[in-house]
Amino acid sequence: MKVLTPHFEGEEVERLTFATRRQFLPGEQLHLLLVENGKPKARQLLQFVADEIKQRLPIATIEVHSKPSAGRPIDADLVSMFAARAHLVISGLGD
Amino acid sequence: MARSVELDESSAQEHMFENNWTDGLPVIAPTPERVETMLAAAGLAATVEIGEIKERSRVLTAEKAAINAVLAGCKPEYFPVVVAALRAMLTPAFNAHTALTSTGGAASCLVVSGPYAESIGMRSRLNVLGPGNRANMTIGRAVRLVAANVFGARTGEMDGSSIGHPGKLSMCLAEYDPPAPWNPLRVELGFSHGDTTVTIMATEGPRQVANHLNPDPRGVLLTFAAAMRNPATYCVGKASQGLVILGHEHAQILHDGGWTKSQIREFLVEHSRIAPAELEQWGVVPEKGSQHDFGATPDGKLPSIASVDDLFVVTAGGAGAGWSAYIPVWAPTLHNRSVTVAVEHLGAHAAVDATSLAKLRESLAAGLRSDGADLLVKQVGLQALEFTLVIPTASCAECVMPAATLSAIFATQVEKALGRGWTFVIRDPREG
Repeated sequence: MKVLTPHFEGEEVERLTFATRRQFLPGEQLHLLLVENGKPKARQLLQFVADEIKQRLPIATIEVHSKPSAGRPIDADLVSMFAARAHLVISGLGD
Repeated sequence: MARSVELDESSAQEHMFENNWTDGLPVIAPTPERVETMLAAAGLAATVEIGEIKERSRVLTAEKAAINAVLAGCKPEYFPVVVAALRAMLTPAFNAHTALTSTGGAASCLVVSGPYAESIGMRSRLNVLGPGNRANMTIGRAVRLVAANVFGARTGEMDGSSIGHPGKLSMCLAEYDPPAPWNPLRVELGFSHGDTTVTIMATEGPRQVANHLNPDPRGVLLTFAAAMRNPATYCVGKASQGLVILGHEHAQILHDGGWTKSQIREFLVEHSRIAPAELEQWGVVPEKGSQHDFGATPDGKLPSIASVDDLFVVTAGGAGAGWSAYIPVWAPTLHNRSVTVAVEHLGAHAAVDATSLAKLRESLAAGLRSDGADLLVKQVGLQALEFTLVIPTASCAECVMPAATLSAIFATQVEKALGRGWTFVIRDPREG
Protein backbone atom coordinates (compact mmCIF):
# COMPACT_ATOMS: atom_id res chain seq x y z
CA MET A 1 0.00 0.00 0.00
CA LYS A 2 1.35 3.43 -0.96
CA VAL A 3 0.72 6.21 1.58
CA LEU A 4 1.63 9.90 1.55
CA THR A 5 3.58 11.37 4.47
CA PRO A 6 1.84 14.05 6.57
CA HIS A 7 4.86 16.00 7.78
CA PHE A 8 6.27 19.32 6.55
CA GLU A 9 8.67 18.80 3.67
CA GLY A 10 9.86 22.27 2.74
CA GLU A 11 13.21 23.75 3.59
CA GLU A 12 13.90 23.91 7.29
CA VAL A 13 14.90 27.19 8.89
CA GLU A 14 18.52 28.05 8.29
CA ARG A 15 20.55 27.57 11.45
CA LEU A 16 22.43 30.68 12.49
CA THR A 17 25.88 30.62 13.97
CA PHE A 18 27.04 32.84 16.80
CA ALA A 19 28.49 36.21 15.82
CA THR A 20 32.24 36.44 16.09
CA ARG A 21 33.33 37.29 19.63
CA ARG A 22 35.67 40.22 19.99
CA GLN A 23 37.91 41.56 22.71
CA PHE A 24 36.87 44.81 24.34
CA LEU A 25 39.36 47.64 24.04
CA PRO A 26 40.92 49.24 27.12
CA GLY A 27 38.72 52.08 28.33
CA GLU A 28 35.83 51.07 26.14
CA GLN A 29 32.42 51.91 27.60
CA LEU A 30 29.79 49.33 26.78
CA HIS A 31 26.06 49.70 26.37
CA LEU A 32 24.11 46.66 27.60
CA LEU A 33 20.54 46.10 26.43
CA LEU A 34 18.16 43.81 28.28
CA VAL A 35 15.10 42.57 26.38
CA GLU A 36 12.62 41.27 28.92
CA ASN A 37 9.67 39.26 27.64
CA GLY A 38 6.97 40.86 29.79
CA LYS A 39 6.50 37.92 32.14
CA PRO A 40 6.38 38.60 35.89
CA LYS A 41 9.87 39.18 37.33
CA ALA A 42 11.58 38.85 33.92
CA ARG A 43 13.02 42.34 34.38
CA GLN A 44 14.41 41.51 37.84
CA LEU A 45 15.93 38.26 36.58
CA LEU A 46 17.71 39.94 33.68
CA GLN A 47 18.81 42.81 35.91
CA PHE A 48 20.42 40.24 38.19
CA VAL A 49 22.30 38.78 35.22
CA ALA A 50 23.31 42.29 34.15
CA ASP A 51 24.69 43.07 37.62
CA GLU A 52 26.84 39.95 37.43
CA ILE A 53 28.11 40.87 33.96
CA LYS A 54 28.93 44.33 35.20
CA GLN A 55 31.49 42.78 37.54
CA ARG A 56 33.30 41.28 34.56
CA LEU A 57 32.94 43.82 31.74
CA PRO A 58 33.16 47.61 31.48
CA ILE A 59 29.39 48.21 31.28
CA ALA A 60 28.69 51.94 31.31
CA THR A 61 24.97 51.97 30.59
CA ILE A 62 22.13 49.50 30.86
CA GLU A 63 18.88 49.85 28.92
CA VAL A 64 15.80 47.67 29.41
CA HIS A 65 13.28 47.01 26.65
CA SER A 66 10.01 45.46 27.83
CA LYS A 67 8.15 43.44 25.22
CA PRO A 68 4.46 44.26 25.17
CA SER A 69 3.62 40.56 24.64
CA ALA A 70 5.71 37.53 25.50
CA GLY A 71 3.79 35.72 22.79
CA ARG A 72 4.98 37.81 19.86
CA PRO A 73 8.51 38.37 18.55
CA ILE A 74 9.92 41.88 18.43
CA ASP A 75 9.90 43.20 14.90
CA ALA A 76 12.92 43.23 12.64
CA ASP A 77 13.28 47.05 12.64
CA LEU A 78 13.53 47.08 16.40
CA VAL A 79 16.11 44.29 16.32
CA SER A 80 18.23 46.28 13.85
CA MET A 81 17.95 49.36 16.03
CA PHE A 82 19.05 47.41 19.11
CA ALA A 83 21.96 45.84 17.22
CA ALA A 84 23.12 49.29 16.10
CA ARG A 85 23.22 50.85 19.51
CA ALA A 86 24.07 48.07 21.96
CA HIS A 87 27.34 46.23 22.47
CA LEU A 88 25.63 43.36 24.24
CA VAL A 89 22.02 42.20 24.26
CA ILE A 90 20.57 39.74 26.74
CA SER A 91 17.19 38.16 26.32
CA GLY A 92 15.55 34.98 27.45
CA LEU A 93 12.69 32.61 26.91
CA GLY A 94 10.50 31.30 29.65
CA ASP A 95 7.75 31.71 32.19
CA MET B 1 3.64 15.71 -4.52
CA ALA B 2 4.27 14.68 -0.94
CA ARG B 3 6.81 11.97 -0.22
CA SER B 4 5.32 8.50 -0.11
CA VAL B 5 6.19 5.20 1.50
CA GLU B 6 5.18 1.65 0.62
CA LEU B 7 3.66 -0.11 3.60
CA ASP B 8 2.28 -3.52 4.28
CA GLU B 9 -1.44 -3.32 5.01
CA SER B 10 -0.89 -5.31 8.20
CA SER B 11 1.90 -3.10 9.53
CA ALA B 12 0.73 0.30 8.26
CA GLN B 13 -0.94 1.35 11.52
CA GLU B 14 2.15 0.57 13.59
CA HIS B 15 4.36 2.43 11.10
CA MET B 16 2.17 5.51 11.46
CA PHE B 17 2.31 5.30 15.26
CA GLU B 18 6.06 4.76 15.33
CA ASN B 19 6.77 7.62 12.95
CA ASN B 20 4.73 10.20 14.87
CA TRP B 21 1.89 10.55 12.39
CA THR B 22 -0.84 10.22 14.99
CA ASP B 23 -2.23 11.91 18.10
CA GLY B 24 -2.16 8.67 20.05
CA LEU B 25 -5.24 7.21 18.41
CA PRO B 26 -5.32 5.03 15.28
CA VAL B 27 -5.50 6.86 11.94
CA ILE B 28 -6.66 6.17 8.39
CA ALA B 29 -3.86 5.50 5.89
CA PRO B 30 -3.53 8.49 3.51
CA THR B 31 -3.31 6.74 0.16
CA PRO B 32 -2.92 8.97 -2.92
CA GLU B 33 -6.47 8.11 -4.01
CA ARG B 34 -8.00 9.18 -0.68
CA VAL B 35 -5.97 12.39 -0.63
CA GLU B 36 -6.98 13.19 -4.21
CA THR B 37 -10.65 12.69 -3.35
CA MET B 38 -10.27 14.98 -0.34
CA LEU B 39 -8.68 17.72 -2.47
CA ALA B 40 -11.38 17.40 -5.12
CA ALA B 41 -14.09 17.95 -2.51
CA ALA B 42 -12.75 21.44 -1.93
CA GLY B 43 -11.72 21.97 -5.54
CA LEU B 44 -8.15 22.57 -4.48
CA ALA B 45 -4.97 21.74 -6.34
CA ALA B 46 -2.35 20.02 -4.18
CA THR B 47 0.03 22.96 -4.38
CA VAL B 48 -2.38 25.67 -3.25
CA GLU B 49 -1.03 27.35 -0.14
CA ILE B 50 -3.52 27.43 2.74
CA GLY B 51 -1.37 29.59 4.99
CA GLU B 52 1.83 29.73 6.96
CA ILE B 53 3.44 30.33 10.33
CA LYS B 54 6.13 32.85 9.46
CA GLU B 55 8.02 32.41 12.74
CA ARG B 56 8.53 28.76 11.84
CA SER B 57 9.16 29.37 8.13
CA ARG B 58 6.60 26.71 7.37
CA VAL B 59 3.86 26.84 4.76
CA LEU B 60 0.81 24.56 4.66
CA THR B 61 -0.20 23.25 1.25
CA ALA B 62 -3.64 21.90 0.43
CA GLU B 63 -2.07 18.48 -0.10
CA LYS B 64 -0.65 18.31 3.42
CA ALA B 65 -3.98 19.53 4.80
CA ALA B 66 -5.76 16.78 2.86
CA ILE B 67 -3.31 14.09 3.99
CA ASN B 68 -3.93 15.02 7.62
CA ALA B 69 -7.70 15.18 7.05
CA VAL B 70 -7.57 11.61 5.73
CA LEU B 71 -5.50 10.55 8.74
CA ALA B 72 -8.11 12.12 11.03
CA GLY B 73 -10.93 10.15 9.43
CA CYS B 74 -12.69 13.02 7.66
CA LYS B 75 -15.19 12.38 4.91
CA PRO B 76 -14.31 14.41 1.78
CA GLU B 77 -17.28 16.71 2.29
CA TYR B 78 -15.81 17.84 5.63
CA PHE B 79 -12.67 19.12 3.94
CA PRO B 80 -13.94 22.62 2.97
CA VAL B 81 -14.63 23.16 6.70
CA VAL B 82 -11.16 21.88 7.62
CA VAL B 83 -9.62 24.25 5.07
CA ALA B 84 -11.55 27.24 6.46
CA ALA B 85 -10.48 26.28 10.00
CA LEU B 86 -6.85 26.06 8.94
CA ARG B 87 -7.03 29.41 7.15
CA ALA B 88 -8.39 30.87 10.38
CA MET B 89 -5.68 29.21 12.45
CA LEU B 90 -2.98 30.59 10.16
CA THR B 91 -4.28 34.17 10.17
CA PRO B 92 -1.67 36.28 12.03
CA ALA B 93 -4.20 37.62 14.57
CA PHE B 94 -4.60 34.07 15.92
CA ASN B 95 -0.84 33.90 16.62
CA ALA B 96 -0.62 30.15 16.04
CA HIS B 97 3.12 30.18 16.74
CA THR B 98 2.40 30.89 20.39
CA ALA B 99 -1.09 29.42 20.76
CA LEU B 100 0.19 26.00 19.69
CA THR B 101 3.26 26.19 21.91
CA SER B 102 2.37 27.75 25.25
CA THR B 103 2.59 25.95 28.58
CA GLY B 104 -1.09 26.94 28.97
CA GLY B 105 -2.00 24.03 26.70
CA ALA B 106 -4.68 25.54 24.49
CA ALA B 107 -7.05 23.58 22.29
CA SER B 108 -7.96 24.86 18.84
CA CYS B 109 -11.67 25.20 19.53
CA LEU B 110 -13.81 25.46 16.37
CA VAL B 111 -17.35 26.82 16.16
CA VAL B 112 -19.02 26.09 12.82
CA SER B 113 -21.99 28.35 12.11
CA GLY B 114 -24.18 27.95 9.06
CA PRO B 115 -26.17 25.58 6.85
CA TYR B 116 -23.20 23.60 5.54
CA ALA B 117 -22.61 22.24 9.06
CA GLU B 118 -26.00 20.52 9.09
CA SER B 119 -25.62 19.32 5.51
CA ILE B 120 -22.51 17.34 6.43
CA GLY B 121 -24.10 15.97 9.59
CA MET B 122 -22.38 18.06 12.24
CA ARG B 123 -23.88 17.87 15.70
CA SER B 124 -25.30 21.02 17.33
CA ARG B 125 -27.65 19.57 19.94
CA LEU B 126 -27.30 16.71 22.46
CA ASN B 127 -23.71 16.03 23.59
CA VAL B 128 -22.47 18.84 21.36
CA LEU B 129 -19.04 18.91 23.02
CA GLY B 130 -18.98 15.17 23.61
CA PRO B 131 -18.01 12.17 21.49
CA GLY B 132 -20.01 10.27 18.91
CA ASN B 133 -20.31 12.54 15.88
CA ARG B 134 -17.82 11.82 13.12
CA ALA B 135 -17.90 15.29 11.55
CA ASN B 136 -17.39 17.19 14.80
CA MET B 137 -14.65 14.86 16.01
CA THR B 138 -12.66 14.46 12.80
CA ILE B 139 -12.77 18.09 11.64
CA GLY B 140 -11.28 19.21 14.96
CA ARG B 141 -8.84 16.32 14.91
CA ALA B 142 -7.65 17.17 11.38
CA VAL B 143 -6.75 20.70 12.47
CA ARG B 144 -4.73 19.38 15.43
CA LEU B 145 -2.96 16.80 13.25
CA VAL B 146 -1.90 19.57 10.87
CA ALA B 147 -0.62 21.54 13.86
CA ALA B 148 1.41 18.54 15.00
CA ASN B 149 2.59 17.08 11.71
CA VAL B 150 3.17 20.23 9.67
CA PHE B 151 3.97 22.81 12.34
CA GLY B 152 5.61 20.62 14.99
CA ALA B 153 3.01 21.19 17.75
CA ARG B 154 3.85 17.92 19.43
CA THR B 155 5.10 16.97 22.89
CA GLY B 156 8.87 16.89 22.77
CA GLU B 157 8.95 19.35 19.88
CA MET B 158 7.00 22.65 19.85
CA ASP B 159 4.08 21.93 22.18
CA GLY B 160 5.05 22.93 25.71
CA SER B 161 1.68 22.26 27.40
CA SER B 162 2.23 21.68 31.10
CA ILE B 163 -1.07 19.86 31.62
CA GLY B 164 -3.05 20.15 28.37
CA HIS B 165 -6.64 18.91 28.18
CA PRO B 166 -8.69 16.40 26.17
CA GLY B 167 -9.98 19.15 23.84
CA LYS B 168 -6.54 19.23 22.27
CA LEU B 169 -7.46 16.03 20.47
CA SER B 170 -10.52 17.66 18.95
CA MET B 171 -12.83 20.46 20.05
CA CYS B 172 -15.37 21.32 17.40
CA LEU B 173 -19.08 22.07 17.55
CA ALA B 174 -21.82 23.34 15.29
CA GLU B 175 -24.03 26.22 16.34
CA TYR B 176 -27.76 25.55 16.50
CA ASP B 177 -29.31 28.67 14.95
CA PRO B 178 -31.07 30.63 17.69
CA PRO B 179 -34.71 31.68 17.53
CA ALA B 180 -35.44 35.13 16.02
CA PRO B 181 -34.79 37.91 16.69
CA TRP B 182 -31.46 36.55 17.91
CA ASN B 183 -28.87 36.16 15.18
CA PRO B 184 -26.42 33.28 14.82
CA LEU B 185 -22.72 33.90 15.35
CA ARG B 186 -21.90 34.26 11.64
CA VAL B 187 -24.42 37.08 11.21
CA GLU B 188 -23.22 38.84 14.35
CA LEU B 189 -19.71 38.75 12.86
CA GLY B 190 -20.81 40.34 9.58
CA PHE B 191 -21.47 37.31 7.37
CA SER B 192 -24.83 36.44 5.84
CA HIS B 193 -27.34 33.84 7.04
CA GLY B 194 -26.54 31.68 3.98
CA ASP B 195 -22.80 31.63 4.69
CA THR B 196 -21.12 28.98 6.77
CA THR B 197 -18.23 30.15 8.91
CA VAL B 198 -15.60 28.63 11.14
CA THR B 199 -14.48 30.55 14.22
CA ILE B 200 -11.29 29.38 15.86
CA MET B 201 -10.40 30.16 19.45
CA ALA B 202 -7.40 28.98 21.47
CA THR B 203 -9.09 27.74 24.61
CA GLU B 204 -8.81 25.98 27.89
CA GLY B 205 -11.24 23.15 28.55
CA PRO B 206 -14.99 23.85 28.82
CA ARG B 207 -16.58 24.66 32.18
CA GLN B 208 -20.04 23.19 32.40
CA VAL B 209 -22.49 25.70 33.83
CA ALA B 210 -25.39 24.28 35.80
CA ASN B 211 -28.43 26.23 36.89
CA HIS B 212 -31.44 23.94 37.03
CA LEU B 213 -33.93 25.74 39.24
CA ASN B 214 -33.78 29.46 38.57
CA PRO B 215 -36.25 30.71 35.92
CA ASP B 216 -35.01 34.29 36.24
CA PRO B 217 -32.76 35.42 33.31
CA ARG B 218 -30.63 37.53 35.62
CA GLY B 219 -30.11 34.57 37.93
CA VAL B 220 -28.99 32.37 35.03
CA LEU B 221 -26.55 35.03 33.84
CA LEU B 222 -25.11 35.52 37.32
CA THR B 223 -24.26 31.81 37.36
CA PHE B 224 -22.42 32.24 34.07
CA ALA B 225 -20.61 35.26 35.47
CA ALA B 226 -19.47 33.16 38.44
CA ALA B 227 -17.92 30.66 36.03
CA MET B 228 -16.31 33.47 34.05
CA ARG B 229 -14.68 35.13 37.09
CA ASN B 230 -13.31 32.01 38.77
CA PRO B 231 -9.94 33.16 40.18
CA ALA B 232 -8.37 29.81 39.25
CA THR B 233 -8.80 30.57 35.55
CA TYR B 234 -5.69 32.13 34.04
CA CYS B 235 -7.41 34.89 32.05
CA VAL B 236 -9.67 36.14 34.84
CA GLY B 237 -8.89 39.82 35.32
CA LYS B 238 -6.68 39.82 32.22
CA ALA B 239 -8.89 41.24 29.42
CA SER B 240 -9.39 38.23 27.17
CA GLN B 241 -12.03 36.67 24.94
CA GLY B 242 -14.49 33.92 25.85
CA LEU B 243 -17.13 31.62 24.44
CA VAL B 244 -20.54 31.13 26.03
CA ILE B 245 -22.53 28.12 24.85
CA LEU B 246 -26.12 28.68 25.83
CA GLY B 247 -27.84 25.36 26.32
CA HIS B 248 -31.43 24.86 25.31
CA GLU B 249 -33.17 25.81 28.57
CA HIS B 250 -30.93 28.73 29.46
CA ALA B 251 -31.32 30.13 25.94
CA GLN B 252 -35.08 29.76 26.23
CA ILE B 253 -35.20 31.56 29.61
CA LEU B 254 -33.13 34.46 28.29
CA HIS B 255 -34.90 34.66 24.94
CA ASP B 256 -38.39 34.48 26.42
CA GLY B 257 -37.34 36.99 29.06
CA GLY B 258 -36.76 39.53 26.28
CA TRP B 259 -32.97 39.71 26.51
CA THR B 260 -31.03 40.46 23.34
CA LYS B 261 -27.67 38.81 22.73
CA SER B 262 -26.02 42.24 23.05
CA GLN B 263 -27.60 42.70 26.47
CA ILE B 264 -26.41 39.25 27.51
CA ARG B 265 -22.86 40.07 26.44
CA GLU B 266 -22.92 43.45 28.20
CA PHE B 267 -24.21 41.88 31.43
CA LEU B 268 -21.62 39.12 31.41
CA VAL B 269 -18.70 41.42 30.56
CA GLU B 270 -19.73 43.71 33.40
CA HIS B 271 -20.34 40.96 35.99
CA SER B 272 -17.23 38.94 35.15
CA ARG B 273 -14.96 41.79 36.22
CA ILE B 274 -13.07 41.10 39.43
CA ALA B 275 -11.33 43.13 42.12
CA PRO B 276 -7.61 42.44 42.71
CA ALA B 277 -8.44 41.89 46.39
CA GLU B 278 -10.75 39.02 45.46
CA LEU B 279 -8.02 37.37 43.43
CA GLU B 280 -5.71 37.73 46.43
CA GLN B 281 -8.39 36.29 48.72
CA TRP B 282 -8.17 33.06 46.74
CA GLY B 283 -4.37 33.03 46.72
CA VAL B 284 -3.84 34.52 43.26
CA VAL B 285 -1.17 37.24 43.04
CA PRO B 286 -2.24 39.91 40.52
CA GLU B 287 0.49 40.82 38.05
CA LYS B 288 2.17 44.15 38.58
CA GLY B 289 4.79 45.75 36.34
CA SER B 290 4.45 43.05 33.69
CA GLN B 291 2.66 42.59 30.35
CA HIS B 292 -0.62 41.82 32.16
CA ASP B 293 -0.64 44.82 34.47
CA PHE B 294 -3.71 46.50 32.97
CA GLY B 295 -4.50 48.65 35.97
CA ALA B 296 -7.89 48.58 37.59
CA THR B 297 -10.93 50.40 36.22
CA PRO B 298 -12.25 53.40 38.22
CA ASP B 299 -14.25 51.11 40.51
CA GLY B 300 -11.14 49.04 41.22
CA LYS B 301 -12.09 45.97 39.17
CA LEU B 302 -10.18 44.19 36.42
CA PRO B 303 -11.91 43.07 33.20
CA SER B 304 -11.97 39.33 32.51
CA ILE B 305 -13.40 39.93 29.02
CA ALA B 306 -11.71 42.73 27.06
CA SER B 307 -14.91 44.16 25.51
CA VAL B 308 -18.46 43.19 24.55
CA ASP B 309 -17.15 42.27 21.08
CA ASP B 310 -14.76 39.79 22.68
CA LEU B 311 -17.45 37.59 24.18
CA PHE B 312 -19.00 35.12 21.73
CA VAL B 313 -22.44 33.75 22.56
CA VAL B 314 -23.76 30.76 20.65
CA THR B 315 -26.73 28.45 21.12
CA ALA B 316 -26.07 24.72 21.11
CA GLY B 317 -26.76 21.63 23.15
CA GLY B 318 -29.79 19.49 23.76
CA ALA B 319 -32.78 19.90 26.00
CA GLY B 320 -32.12 18.95 29.60
CA ALA B 321 -32.06 20.28 33.09
CA GLY B 322 -30.37 23.65 32.66
CA TRP B 323 -26.91 22.87 31.32
CA SER B 324 -24.67 25.25 29.40
CA ALA B 325 -20.92 25.81 29.07
CA TYR B 326 -18.37 28.57 29.30
CA ILE B 327 -15.07 28.15 27.47
CA PRO B 328 -12.32 30.57 28.50
CA VAL B 329 -9.56 31.35 26.06
CA TRP B 330 -6.00 30.54 26.93
CA ALA B 331 -4.49 34.04 26.83
CA PRO B 332 -5.42 37.74 26.93
CA THR B 333 -6.21 39.55 23.67
CA LEU B 334 -2.73 41.02 23.88
CA HIS B 335 -1.41 37.70 22.57
CA ASN B 336 -4.18 36.07 20.58
CA ARG B 337 -7.58 36.72 19.05
CA SER B 338 -10.22 34.46 17.60
CA VAL B 339 -10.53 34.47 13.83
CA THR B 340 -13.56 33.68 11.67
CA VAL B 341 -13.33 32.52 8.06
CA ALA B 342 -16.13 31.58 5.64
CA VAL B 343 -16.22 28.06 4.24
CA GLU B 344 -15.48 28.33 0.54
CA HIS B 345 -16.07 25.92 -2.32
CA LEU B 346 -13.26 26.53 -4.73
CA GLY B 347 -14.69 24.38 -7.48
CA ALA B 348 -12.94 26.03 -10.38
CA HIS B 349 -9.52 26.32 -8.80
CA ALA B 350 -8.13 23.30 -10.53
CA ALA B 351 -8.77 24.83 -13.94
CA VAL B 352 -6.21 27.58 -13.50
CA ASP B 353 -2.55 27.71 -12.66
CA ALA B 354 -2.85 27.11 -8.94
CA THR B 355 0.68 28.31 -8.18
CA SER B 356 0.18 31.66 -9.91
CA LEU B 357 -3.16 32.09 -8.22
CA ALA B 358 -1.75 31.27 -4.80
CA LYS B 359 1.14 33.71 -5.31
CA LEU B 360 -1.25 36.43 -6.46
CA ARG B 361 -3.54 35.91 -3.47
CA GLU B 362 -0.55 35.97 -1.13
CA SER B 363 0.79 39.23 -2.57
CA LEU B 364 -2.63 40.91 -2.43
CA ALA B 365 -3.35 39.63 1.08
CA ALA B 366 0.06 40.65 2.44
CA GLY B 367 -0.88 44.32 2.59
CA LEU B 368 -4.10 43.58 4.44
CA ARG B 369 -2.64 41.44 7.19
CA SER B 370 -1.11 44.31 9.13
CA ASP B 371 -4.71 45.37 9.77
CA GLY B 372 -5.71 41.82 10.75
CA ALA B 373 -7.59 41.20 7.49
CA ASP B 374 -7.09 38.65 4.75
CA LEU B 375 -8.20 37.94 1.19
CA LEU B 376 -9.51 34.57 -0.01
CA VAL B 377 -10.24 33.30 -3.50
CA LYS B 378 -13.94 32.47 -3.59
CA GLN B 379 -14.55 31.63 -7.25
CA VAL B 380 -12.48 31.27 -10.38
CA GLY B 381 -14.30 31.51 -13.68
CA LEU B 382 -13.31 32.11 -17.28
CA GLN B 383 -10.83 34.96 -16.84
CA ALA B 384 -12.85 36.08 -13.84
CA LEU B 385 -11.97 35.98 -10.16
CA GLU B 386 -14.03 36.53 -7.10
CA PHE B 387 -12.24 37.37 -3.85
CA THR B 388 -13.68 37.56 -0.38
CA LEU B 389 -12.32 40.09 2.03
CA VAL B 390 -11.98 38.57 5.51
CA ILE B 391 -12.19 40.97 8.42
CA PRO B 392 -11.97 38.78 11.50
CA THR B 393 -13.00 41.25 14.19
CA ALA B 394 -15.31 44.20 14.27
CA SER B 395 -12.59 46.26 15.92
CA CYS B 396 -10.44 46.39 12.77
CA ALA B 397 -13.31 46.88 10.32
CA GLU B 398 -12.57 50.56 9.82
CA CYS B 399 -8.82 50.03 9.39
CA VAL B 400 -9.32 48.14 6.12
CA MET B 401 -9.92 50.12 2.93
CA PRO B 402 -13.27 49.68 1.14
CA ALA B 403 -13.46 47.01 -1.57
CA ALA B 404 -13.71 49.60 -4.35
CA THR B 405 -10.45 51.24 -3.28
CA LEU B 406 -8.72 47.88 -2.93
CA SER B 407 -9.92 46.87 -6.41
CA ALA B 408 -8.30 49.95 -7.93
CA ILE B 409 -5.04 49.21 -6.10
CA PHE B 410 -5.03 45.48 -6.97
CA ALA B 411 -5.84 45.84 -10.70
CA THR B 412 -2.22 46.18 -11.79
CA GLN B 413 -1.10 43.21 -9.68
CA VAL B 414 -3.84 40.97 -11.08
CA GLU B 415 -2.92 41.86 -14.66
CA LYS B 416 0.76 41.34 -13.98
CA ALA B 417 0.16 37.92 -12.40
CA LEU B 418 -2.48 36.49 -14.75
CA GLY B 419 -2.21 38.58 -17.91
CA ARG B 420 -4.59 40.96 -19.68
CA GLY B 421 -8.31 40.32 -19.84
CA TRP B 422 -8.90 39.11 -16.29
CA THR B 423 -11.63 40.74 -14.28
CA PHE B 424 -12.19 40.43 -10.58
CA VAL B 425 -14.51 41.48 -7.79
CA ILE B 426 -13.92 41.74 -4.06
CA ARG B 427 -16.80 40.75 -1.81
CA ASP B 428 -16.73 42.92 1.30
CA PRO B 429 -18.59 41.59 4.38
CA ARG B 430 -19.17 45.19 5.47
CA GLU B 431 -21.33 45.79 2.41
CA GLY B 432 -23.82 43.09 3.42
